Amino acid sequence: MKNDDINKELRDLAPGLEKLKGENPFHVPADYFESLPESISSRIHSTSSSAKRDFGFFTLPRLAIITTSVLLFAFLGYFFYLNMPSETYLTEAEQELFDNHLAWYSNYQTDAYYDIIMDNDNDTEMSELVFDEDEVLDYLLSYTGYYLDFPPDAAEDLW
Amino acid sequence: MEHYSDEQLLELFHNSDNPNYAFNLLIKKYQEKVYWHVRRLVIDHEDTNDIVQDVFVKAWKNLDNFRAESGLFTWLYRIATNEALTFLKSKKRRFFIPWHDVENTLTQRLETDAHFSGNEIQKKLQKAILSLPEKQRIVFNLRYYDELKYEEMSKILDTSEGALKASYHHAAKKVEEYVKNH
Repeated sequence: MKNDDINKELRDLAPGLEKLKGENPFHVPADYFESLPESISSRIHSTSSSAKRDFGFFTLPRLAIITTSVLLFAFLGYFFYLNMPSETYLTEAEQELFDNHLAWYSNYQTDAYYDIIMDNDNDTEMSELVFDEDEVLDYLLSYTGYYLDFPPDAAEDLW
Repeated sequence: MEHYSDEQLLELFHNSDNPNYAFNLLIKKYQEKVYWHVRRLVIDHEDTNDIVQDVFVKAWKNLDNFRAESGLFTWLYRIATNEALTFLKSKKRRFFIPWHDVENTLTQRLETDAHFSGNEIQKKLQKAILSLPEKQRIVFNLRYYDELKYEEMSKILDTSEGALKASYHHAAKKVEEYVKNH
């Protein structure tokens, strides 16, 4: 009944094609359909095992690589953080230049000089610095030649 | 093999200790229908063989989720159609060729195919079918060779019966015209 309907439809539409119907010009190699179920089973088996392999040899190592990379970066980051220089060190030449400059500067800008030698702490006021009077005199006499302006007897008093 | 209904095969697959056996029965029941459907679309036997195997591998993987209301046969035809179309599209993409050149390639293959034994008129008919647009070609093959109802075709191709009928009528006239004039 189903075929009759289809054939009638074709006859009405394209009668030339009805005559050609029923022949299959294609063919397959001998015993193809007998062996096809086995080929399909083999392919199913191989895709199942490759899916397992994917998990075993590719998926898991991928996770391991990601985890190891994260841990390695964290470790290296921590290592560099610990070993990061906390101060800027000067080269020997820079240090010498800086000392010379400081010595020269101290002759003119006493307060600023103290600021510098007190680690640039500008909030530190001179009034907060407590110097022993003997220390001051000792310093002046030893390093600045300031005693030359003293009256000789005053210097003798000092000594 | 034909004495197992789809329901019995599914029952056997889901509830027996040996689903492989049930699936083997399913392959034997549908392998030829699926093969010829694909073969008429891609022409070459080796390509068809690959696609058919892929179709059944997909069916195996998804049979647990298969819902019986759509029909096993319809479901397999749907997978087969999609696989064949994907294959043809990948062929177009791989070689950067437009559809009419794929059609030419398939026609040339028809000339050299060792597994094609049709006479001149049969060859002309196949060339005429290959000259149809993709969708019309599928509709024509499903109706002309597989003798499917429009209702079944509608489920496979997800297209309305009216549109399929129009498509088939158009295709049949074009094929007849081609055979007459070439």
